[in-house]
Amino acid sequence: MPNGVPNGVREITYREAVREAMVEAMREDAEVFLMGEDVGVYGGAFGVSRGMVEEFGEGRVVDTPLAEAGFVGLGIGAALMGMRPIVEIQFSDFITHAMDQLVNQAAKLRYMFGGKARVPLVVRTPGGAGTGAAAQHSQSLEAWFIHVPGLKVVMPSTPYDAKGMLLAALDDPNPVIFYEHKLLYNRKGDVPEKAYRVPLGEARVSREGEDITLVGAGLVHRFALEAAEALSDEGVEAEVLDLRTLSPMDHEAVLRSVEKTGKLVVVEEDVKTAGWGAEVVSRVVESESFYALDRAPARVAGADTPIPYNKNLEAFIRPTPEKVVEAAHKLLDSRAGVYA
Amino acid sequence: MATELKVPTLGMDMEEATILRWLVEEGTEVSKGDPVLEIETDKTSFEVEANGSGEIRSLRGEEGETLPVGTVLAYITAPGEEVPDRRETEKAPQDGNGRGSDSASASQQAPKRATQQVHRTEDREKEEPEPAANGTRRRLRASPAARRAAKERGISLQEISGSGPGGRIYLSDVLEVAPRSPEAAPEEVAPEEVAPEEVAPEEVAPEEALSPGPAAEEAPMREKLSRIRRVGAARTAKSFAEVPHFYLTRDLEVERLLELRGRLQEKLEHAPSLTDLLALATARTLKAHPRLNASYSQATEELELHPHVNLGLAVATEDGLMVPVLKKAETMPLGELVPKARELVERARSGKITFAELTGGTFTISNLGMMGIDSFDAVINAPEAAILAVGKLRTVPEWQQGGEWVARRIITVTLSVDHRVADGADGARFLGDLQAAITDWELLL
Repeated sequence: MPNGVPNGVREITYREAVREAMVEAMREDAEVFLMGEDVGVYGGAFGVSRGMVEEFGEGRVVDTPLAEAGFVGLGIGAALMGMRPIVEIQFSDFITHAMDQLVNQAAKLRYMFGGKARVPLVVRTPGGAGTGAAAQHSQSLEAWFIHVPGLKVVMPSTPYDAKGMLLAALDDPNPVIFYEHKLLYNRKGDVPEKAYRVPLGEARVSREGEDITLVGAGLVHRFALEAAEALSDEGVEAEVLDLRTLSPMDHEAVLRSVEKTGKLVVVEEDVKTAGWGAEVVSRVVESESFYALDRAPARVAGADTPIPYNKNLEAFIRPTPEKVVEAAHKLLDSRAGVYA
Repeated sequence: MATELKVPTLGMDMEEATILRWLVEEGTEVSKGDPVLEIETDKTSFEVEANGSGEIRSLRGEEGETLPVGTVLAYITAPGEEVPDRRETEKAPQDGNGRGSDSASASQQAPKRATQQVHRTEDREKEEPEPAANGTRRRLRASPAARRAAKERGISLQEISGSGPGGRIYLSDVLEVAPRSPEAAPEEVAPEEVAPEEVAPEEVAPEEALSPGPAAEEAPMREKLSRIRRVGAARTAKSFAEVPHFYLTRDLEVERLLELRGRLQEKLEHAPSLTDLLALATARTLKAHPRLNASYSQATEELELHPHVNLGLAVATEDGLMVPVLKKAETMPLGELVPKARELVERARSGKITFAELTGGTFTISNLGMMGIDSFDAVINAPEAAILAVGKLRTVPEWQQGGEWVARRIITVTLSVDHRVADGADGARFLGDLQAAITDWELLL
């Protein structure tokens, strides 16, 4: 927990932290509103906006038809006109419907209008697997949006960051894709009651160590932390970095850690091929810190496959803390058979 | 089915080996049991024998390269058999018929094989920059951090033996050779990065701060330790730190031992030395003292009482101390023990000792008498329970009851004992029995 946290810190869930950020922003600023499928009366598919329609009414907590391209476009228009829309995509898999709106409109308009138009849009969406929701409701497609200049992509892993980064995203004049994770919603953490901001684009060292660097974001950042604890029992002190923002990426934080440890494992839930972990590794090997590397960097990522419905298969293809430990062993292993 | 020739393992703690010398080359015909290469471990060097008969194919691994146990070095293929796992699968010569007896066909084949070898060499060179599928034939590999550190220290990577798979060099390997980089040190912490309050003023005496530091020629020379010395350093440190040593020193009267040696010198071609006779007496006396021929297990809090006396003989070699082991020494007649001990010592000094001959000891004798030492205390060769340190043969005066001084010839021995295994009385009784044995040889029969 950073210094200078205001009084009134409670332990609340990630879900409540996201809701609190939205509620506080909407109380403060009449231009902020929430829009999405079932966000109103139903309270959202994951209950994030529960109770909000009662406070703010259907004019500011807007249930939409099942038409992502349409309501994301609506959000972009509202943002262009000076409002601060929060658009919820019920499952991040459905974001594909809104790709043209996000990639060709939201990301481009400020640039194409020479800075005279702005799109302060926040798209909140839960991603990730582990819920048995199969191939069309479990993907981690965040790397796609890193590939689009003009979009910011954030992926907070704690309730504290969820609230602080959502408020920061609402302040930001650019479109921000705000990735939540279904398995994070019930996780609890200390969150101040008052509004505060966690700046976008800054990674956080969540655990200090000298021996190996583990970089994660979102849910799997917790896997990295759990792996670090297991490694610590063996006498290996891992440094864990929570990227928090995938774009713009805080590679300086990664480099600082790699300079210290010489060893890098990236933990990501998206598929390995062209996943965001590839970007993390590339930025290290392109930099002067390449010469600090004492082992080939490794990625613990989702397998290059659709997410299976079968829960054993699903577990098999996802990153786990055990897989992170295994990757660290492999990296640290200076002689054949030491950990065999 | 081609036979894989691998880096063999000779013990639980053997993890890698360095190729000293190939005795065969690509295409050599070998029979099972033929020596094919010499390799070196942290304990010893030895010859690897062919584990099958046929032709050596796809040979990988350079002399001087350190490889993990189990690495495939070559395939031994039957005539006509293809080499596994090669991209261009050349047909092996079809020489099943008339080999040896048909000189014409043999001479026809000879140039063919030579051509093949040229091709192979080219292929290999092409492959070199890529990671070889079997992980053996590679350029020197070092991590970027290791390369940077070596460059900063002005060390050639060739001088460093890598601890990683396939001899890969890691930063730790460079730091082991040269822990600090004098040039790099000031760069690591720029003066402005140090907050003033972090430097306590009294810690920096002005004259120290201003002194330019030792001139280059005064800097200590760095010597890279041989593997034997490195292992020895680790083992003696561990033993001295973990094993509670105590020492019993006693003068052994050796008058009768010298008489015996004199008689045997006349009769035997390989006359035993005093050390040989002491070794024999020690081995046989230990039979009656199982606690001194035992090991303490911390894990189980048990004693392991060894069924045989495997007597280690400490030998100073150019590379450091080695302890070859006379297995079942208590069963050996003198005529067997003397040549065997001599052979072991000789092989240890020439680096030809095998791994097996260096392991399994249960008690060690160390003799520095020939180097003029009166007596000394030795570090126990853990997990053994005791070590006997033997001093030089001396003549000392002894006051006789009859009222006169007589000359006595003695050797001072010191027994270092693991107090977890045996007590002072155990050690004292052993030394008493040893004295009796070398006085009255019949006791050993």
